[in-house]
Amino acid sequence: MLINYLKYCYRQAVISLSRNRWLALVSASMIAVSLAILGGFLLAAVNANQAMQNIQSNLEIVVFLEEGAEISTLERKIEQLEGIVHCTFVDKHTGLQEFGRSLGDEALLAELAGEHNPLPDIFRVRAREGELVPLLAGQIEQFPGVEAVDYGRELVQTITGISRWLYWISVCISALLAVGAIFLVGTTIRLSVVIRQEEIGIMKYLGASDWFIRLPFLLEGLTIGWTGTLAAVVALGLAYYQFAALLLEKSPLFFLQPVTSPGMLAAIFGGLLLLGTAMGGLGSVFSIRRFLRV
Amino acid sequence: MIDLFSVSKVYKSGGPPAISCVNLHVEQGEFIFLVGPSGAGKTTLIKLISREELPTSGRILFLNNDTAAYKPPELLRHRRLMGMVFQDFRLLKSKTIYENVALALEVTGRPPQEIKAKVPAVLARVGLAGKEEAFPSELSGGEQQRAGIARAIVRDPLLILADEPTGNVDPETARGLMELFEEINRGGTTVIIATHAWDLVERMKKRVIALDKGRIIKDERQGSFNHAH
Repeated sequence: MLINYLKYCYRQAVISLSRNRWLALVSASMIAVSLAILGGFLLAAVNANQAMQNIQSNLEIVVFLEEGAEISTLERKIEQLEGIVHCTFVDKHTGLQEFGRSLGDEALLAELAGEHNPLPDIFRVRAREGELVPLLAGQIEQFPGVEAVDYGRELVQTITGISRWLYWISVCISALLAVGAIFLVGTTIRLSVVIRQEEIGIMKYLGASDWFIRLPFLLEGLTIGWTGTLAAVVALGLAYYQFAALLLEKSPLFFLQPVTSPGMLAAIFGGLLLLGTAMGGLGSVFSIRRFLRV
Repeated sequence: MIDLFSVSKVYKSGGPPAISCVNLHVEQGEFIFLVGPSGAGKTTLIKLISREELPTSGRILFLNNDTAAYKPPELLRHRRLMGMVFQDFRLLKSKTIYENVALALEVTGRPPQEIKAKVPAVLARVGLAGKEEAFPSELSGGEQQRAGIARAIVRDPLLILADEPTGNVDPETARGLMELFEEINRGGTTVIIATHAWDLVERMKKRVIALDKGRIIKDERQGSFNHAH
């Protein structure tokens, strides 16, 4: 009985979709566009997040020491902190030599050597994870004998800010597009309901259950949603594949590496497919509820 | 089978009742004509029995169940036990005659084999053999009504409710349709027909319930009824 019923629902959904094929196509396209934009932003956000992780994990905390600071005590305290990979002491003379080498100015180096060296002793500290850097820097800054710490705070803050904006922009645009898509699917289903109103009335007389009447419309909405999203996922997948291949081959910066984790990409694309299909179903549920009252 | 106890129906609060204090008992296998002028309450009575409308006061029992107390599954069962025939046929124009009749079985989830066997048989019974693939627009009024009757009887209902079934056909076709209803009734199905066609009513010698301004003014049994069920 259930199989016969499902066959009937499927047949009705196919007939209805072919009758309203243009409107169904517009609705599916709208879902495809909104989901492609949402997916694009999601991929951008995930990649930006990975770039930030790459940058942060390469960040070094430079700890500037006060004159006469207890070097060995401080070194022990830093190394005891959770998440520290290694901690290297660089005295002011070595520091000056490094600085001179980076400048390539031997004369300046000679002039600043000895008692005129303005540089402080420092520790170079590496964290296990990029995310720990700001926290560890804050803790080290509190230790006695530490004058200041630096870890590229501004760069991290800029990237975090960009990621956050990217996320909110994508949420807003996608929400607007999703509402539009749900509305369009609703219109398509409403049209089907109006076209089939006489049939629905007769079915009620014949003793059709509410779900018998509703399910073909729900199936129609889900099909529209699924088709639109599938188109979006395929297009987005192909575009991302090209982009990732290009970036892997010719990335200009060390931290610009694309996300290629199969688990992460499957979650994004699978999630989009579920979301788009659900949007189609949601549009039809609203329409049927408002217009059938069966 | 059907019992109405002091049933009244008012559509508009403060307006005149469409049905007023009606008491009625219908036995299984009866053939009943509901007659009366337009606005007498015939269609309202049909709608109350089919449970399309609920009474404003009074009780309606169908197979000893109060129709006002139905829960959704019971309402479905109620509708599935009866077949409806309409003046305007209410066939779906986009479906063939076969598909129109098959719909009555599809909504109850009957298997395709049963549908394939039953629909041609019932179409042959109402005189529409060979018209399976025709669309309603390709048939005459009488043939369309026969298709409507086929859809009503394909599930072997206990009761047929027909509202002016001969209203849109010529007198000769109307006689043919009435003979078909009589043949269905001989099989034990209760038939209730609301009609204006006095000549047919008088000729067929069945129970006649006359309504006027929502009240039963005459309830006369002119012939014997069938007890086959």
